[in-house]
Amino acid sequence: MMKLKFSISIFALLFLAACDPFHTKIEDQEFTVIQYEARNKTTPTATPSTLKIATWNIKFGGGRIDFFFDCHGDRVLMTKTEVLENMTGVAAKVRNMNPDVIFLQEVDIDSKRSAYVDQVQYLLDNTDLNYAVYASQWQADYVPSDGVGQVNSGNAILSKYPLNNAERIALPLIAEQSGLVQYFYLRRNILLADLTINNKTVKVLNTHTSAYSSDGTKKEQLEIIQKRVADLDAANIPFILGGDFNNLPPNSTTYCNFDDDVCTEESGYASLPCDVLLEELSNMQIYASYEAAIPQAKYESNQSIYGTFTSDKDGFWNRKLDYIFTNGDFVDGAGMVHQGVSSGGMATMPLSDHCPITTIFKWN
Amino acid sequence: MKTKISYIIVLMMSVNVIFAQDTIPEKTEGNNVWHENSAKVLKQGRTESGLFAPMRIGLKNQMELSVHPIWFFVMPNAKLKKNWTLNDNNKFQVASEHGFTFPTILLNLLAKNGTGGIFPADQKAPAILTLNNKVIMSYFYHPDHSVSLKLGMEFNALASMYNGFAPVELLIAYPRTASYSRFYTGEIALAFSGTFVKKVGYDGDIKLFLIPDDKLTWVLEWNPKVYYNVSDKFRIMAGALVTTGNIPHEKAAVRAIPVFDLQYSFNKSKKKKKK
Repeated sequence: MMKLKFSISIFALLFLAACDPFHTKIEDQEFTVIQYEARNKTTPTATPSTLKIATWNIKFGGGRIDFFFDCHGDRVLMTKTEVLENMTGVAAKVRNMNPDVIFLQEVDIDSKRSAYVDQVQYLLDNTDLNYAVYASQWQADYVPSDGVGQVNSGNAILSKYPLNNAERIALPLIAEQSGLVQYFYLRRNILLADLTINNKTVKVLNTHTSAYSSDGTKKEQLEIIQKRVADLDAANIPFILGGDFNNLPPNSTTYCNFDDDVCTEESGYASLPCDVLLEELSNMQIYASYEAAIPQAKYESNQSIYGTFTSDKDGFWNRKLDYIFTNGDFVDGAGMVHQGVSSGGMATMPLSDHCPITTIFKWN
Repeated sequence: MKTKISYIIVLMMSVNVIFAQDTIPEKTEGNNVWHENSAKVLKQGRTESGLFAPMRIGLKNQMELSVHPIWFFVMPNAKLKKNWTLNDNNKFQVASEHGFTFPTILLNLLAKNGTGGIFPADQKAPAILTLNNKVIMSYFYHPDHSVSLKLGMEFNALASMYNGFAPVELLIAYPRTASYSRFYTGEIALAFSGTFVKKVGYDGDIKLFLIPDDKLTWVLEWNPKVYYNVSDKFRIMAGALVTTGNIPHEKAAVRAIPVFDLQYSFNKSKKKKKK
């Protein structure tokens, strides 16, 4: 009987490997990027001299609900009312920032956990942004874990101006995961598109790297991202790269044992050991090559005012994981981390476990 | 409602009586003692089971009891089938089937964090008891082949609607759990059963699940199977389950899975008469 059950398990794994019955594999081709338009478009500045750029991980519209993966609670699913309430706050903050381009991570478009609300369309219809491209990094007809169910979540770039030639580039999967977990787990990517205004084109790239790998996968992902922008730079193509890198900047004085690290090993969401996190500080080589919304020197002078993440809604932003880089020019001093009313004009703690960053890109 | 059901049963039995003289000729392919997907029940004393099939026990008075023995510990279940036909060899036969399931334990076992958490850990199921009732009308148009019409309804007997129930939005699972958060669901099926050659049999259901929602939700399922009867005691089954429907949020137009079973049987030993 045991041999038979073992054989059945092997057969099931082979079946999954050979087929894609739950549609979790995302083909790395152009058509896997979804294009969106707002139902009612606004008219942006025809000849801008600058563009306001933002990046924000919106935690799938989950606000500050205590989900199981943060280990502050055990929620899995939201009601539609909860999602729309949270998204109302997110849209209000986006309007408050008024970006020309915003990079969003952890955006759900068709997930059971967020009541199947298409959050990209919602934001287009409730802000002044007109166009968007979306690339999934977690897609499954059904995830048989934690009651997650159906999920489609990923990266999006929203813009007042048209986006063309959008492309999804796959990043490596976490090698230390088993085949079965890998099949149902996130598939990280770089989403890129052309932003063209008055015959000038800038490549906009959005990414969200792994949070929980301890086998060097995150470093590999960051190296691929860095290589990609290096190739653009070498070809004299201007780019703006934003995203959640899940990595602290170099020379961060606090890099582990944060107050909000409450997950245990058993949960599967525990923070990595301190020696691993220390080593990860050297992953952000990109700082040395390109201009950052928050320059490294500024960050090192007062690290606490540049934190962009905390899992504790009663705490404070305690680590910087979100970035915007360019090989062009940002307006000096324009970079801002929207930690709250005093920096950004609106409370952001209730809206997500990340706060947004903005900066101003010199277009001409 | 009870009166209407009584009328239907009486009507079917009347039809049975009218054709009481119309009997099934002797089978051309030998006596198939295995369970058939029809109004017929197992012979008294015969028990069948399989890796995945329920255990079926032939009782007296043309009755058959079936239970999923492995599931029973986490989802108590049982079904009783009664063949109402006066003559077992009638071409027309009528049976009714009545069963229950108590899925609460299983639902709560599957509501957990981590792999295998089909339902969210923060959603615990109330006590749910479903009662399933079916009428089966079979016509043996050939000694070795039959076609059956099945009409069934499933009721949530304790009226404890699982209001927070987050269903599995997959075609294969959805209709089987729909009654947990509704008062009733319906089912209509057409079944074909028979023997190709001496050792090879077949059966297949074309089943339509009807789930009352704001708009009617339906799932159509086809379950063709082929059996190889190694002997009266052992057989192998292979087939498929193909489904389509309009359940909310299901991405696939059609889902299909292979099905397979190894089935065995044993008969109650007859007591030897003392000389």
